[in-house]
Amino acid sequence: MEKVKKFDFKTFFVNNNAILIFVLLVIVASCMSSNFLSSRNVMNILRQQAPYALIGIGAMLTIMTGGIDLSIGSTLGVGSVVIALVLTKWNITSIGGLFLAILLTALVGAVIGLLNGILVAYFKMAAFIATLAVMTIGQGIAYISTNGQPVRLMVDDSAAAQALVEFSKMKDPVLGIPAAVYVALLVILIFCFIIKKTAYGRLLIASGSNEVAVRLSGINVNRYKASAYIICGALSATAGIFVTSRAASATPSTTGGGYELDAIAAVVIGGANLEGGKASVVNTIIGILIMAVIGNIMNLMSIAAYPQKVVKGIIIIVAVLLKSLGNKKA
Amino acid sequence: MKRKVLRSVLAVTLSIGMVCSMAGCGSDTADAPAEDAAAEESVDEAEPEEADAEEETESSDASGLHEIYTLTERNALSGLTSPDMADRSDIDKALPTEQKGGLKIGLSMGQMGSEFFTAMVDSAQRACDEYGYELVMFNADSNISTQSADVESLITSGVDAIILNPMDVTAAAADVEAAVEAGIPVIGVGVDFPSDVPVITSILANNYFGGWYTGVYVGEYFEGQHLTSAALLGQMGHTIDESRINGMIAGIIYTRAEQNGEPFDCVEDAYLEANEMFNELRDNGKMISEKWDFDIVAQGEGLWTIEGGLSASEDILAGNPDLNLFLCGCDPMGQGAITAIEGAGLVPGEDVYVACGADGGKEIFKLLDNGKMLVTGYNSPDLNGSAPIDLLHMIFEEGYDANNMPAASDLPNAAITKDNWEAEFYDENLTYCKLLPFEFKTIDSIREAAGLE
Repeated sequence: MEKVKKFDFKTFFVNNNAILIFVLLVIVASCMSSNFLSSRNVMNILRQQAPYALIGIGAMLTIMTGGIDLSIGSTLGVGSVVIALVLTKWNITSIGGLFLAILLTALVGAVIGLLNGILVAYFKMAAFIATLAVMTIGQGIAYISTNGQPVRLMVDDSAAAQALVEFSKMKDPVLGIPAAVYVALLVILIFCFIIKKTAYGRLLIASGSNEVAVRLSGINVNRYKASAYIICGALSATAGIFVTSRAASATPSTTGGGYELDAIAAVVIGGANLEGGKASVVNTIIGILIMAVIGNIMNLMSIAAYPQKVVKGIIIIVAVLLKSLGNKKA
Repeated sequence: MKRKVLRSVLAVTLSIGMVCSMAGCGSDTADAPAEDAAAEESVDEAEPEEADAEEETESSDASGLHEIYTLTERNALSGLTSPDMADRSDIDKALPTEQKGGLKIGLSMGQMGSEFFTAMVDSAQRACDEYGYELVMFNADSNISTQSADVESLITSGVDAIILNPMDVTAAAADVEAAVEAGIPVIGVGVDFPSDVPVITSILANNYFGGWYTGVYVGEYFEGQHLTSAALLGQMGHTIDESRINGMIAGIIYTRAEQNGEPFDCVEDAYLEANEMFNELRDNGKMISEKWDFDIVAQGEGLWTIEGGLSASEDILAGNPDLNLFLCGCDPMGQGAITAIEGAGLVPGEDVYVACGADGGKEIFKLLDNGKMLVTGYNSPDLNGSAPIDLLHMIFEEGYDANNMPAASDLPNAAITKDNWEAEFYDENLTYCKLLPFEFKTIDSIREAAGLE
């Protein structure tokens, strides 16, 4: 006779605490503000979080390998500046040219990631220091290439610039979901597949959880580690395209916008282990949404700016504590 | 919507232009309200009645100085100073004893994070080229320690004078003292130092009155209408944006008091009440005023960028469907707010208005012209860059006595609107606004004009 499995709340909580916290937050937010679940507000949150989804996944990949990438925000800023500079300085006006500019921007991000990867994986530099150095290099490049000035897209003179700006406003006619969200969703699905279903994904996790065993089995761990940084760089620069698209301009100060800390916090809230070997794409996205809802509800509630920072910090601590407590009980 | 066009919106003034204002409502020196230029030129019949010269009001202290000038918490009051200034002639400022030309000038910038600062440095360079001076520029990149090292390098290199755009006036005070001890005079730019710091003076746009002019215009424009507004600051706690928003509130309620037929006893009373309203906004995240039919229902931080302004405005619009006005610390955040308004399916300049505290320029003129932006405050980086060089030229080559200048020499302020941008502020050769006339004042002349002994 088959045994009936007893529902184990602890296990359920440990495995799903990010989504439980998210659901709880949504319920609380809905009770606190009638505007929270309005379609305009929901679309705002989704639109604003599209670039965070990309950098969140990038951050997750590097954390999965036991590393960290502090240059994410800087690379995002470089990507934002590169796409704007390419379109304006090179006078690219065609839609085909826009696609090439997007590819070039992602490539620049990948090169920055490659630098991180080489320093961390091959030169064995501490990821914290290596990516911090690359962060400042990225900031410097952004300021040098723009002479410290914002780069405005010439929307009136260029179909490419116009298309890029229109992209941020495009939404599907049925649900009204912004196009950027669909792009982010596509990236999420691709990386869910890669992590869950491919040997590359499994080895990436393994290189963080048990590097020695992977190395002894004859696999080039360094290559996998470096690849995580390359992908992270490409995703971060692509996220920068979203930012330029929304603002119709790029400013080098974006490189110091602190995006990396929000991305890393979201990955940790999503249950990733900072020592590597454990992370989930879906939970990372939930972590990003948790961060977004916290900020959004406080804005809707018109909570003063100073307390907002305290409340946000406390909720992050509570979320991470709940996770660690759950882990211990399990 | 009833619109009242200002007789003349250009109202060039200096904070030190409070020379014509009284120090307190009850001061017997009162012959015009503080920000006389604002009140007289920017506001239709906006002059508050002069206070009784013989009486001291409740908001004046025993010395007759208005309470607004005695508040210790002044983060949101940058630029609001009393004309009753203490003498600074005893402070050693390392002023030159002999005239000389061919100066080597050091410029220490706190940061170069925006187009504004680039335009400022370019303007300083142009002024140096004109006078035949050499300009040595360092960028501290927002790092206080780096700025100290930059100033030390300038001292070591033996420059004739230093222009200091401080990241932090408290930290940079020691740098000023080190330079003066080495016999090098220092002019501050962008932010004002406390009056006991041995700078010759600090040259800056008056943040409070940048907001004030915008506020006065908004008050005129929305006469008789309820204001449901939101405030966008770069960062809450940042003195420049807090002062601009504070000034906007003051301009709005001052104008509304005039329109209601119950003007303030003196303009300082408006400043004081506005400051209390701003504190309510800062502490509670919102400010509701039935008295003035004026609410600020939300505040957002836009980090002085279009993207930051856009994200903050989106949330605010979603949470406040009845919003009709954004009050923004600077133009880029206003541009972000305009994009957010359009993204919400609303029409900027019809459904929701955008008013900014600074800066103006070619990009912004387009928005003013097509009505998407209602008003912005004049703030010229070119004037910020050239004025210190001009002052050094006056001191070193023309014998100008700069020993008793005020701690802050404020550059002109004005409201830029659809009606006046082209005629009064457009310069085809500049990215920002054209340079308005500007004259340096000494403390003696300020006190004399205010009737103070």
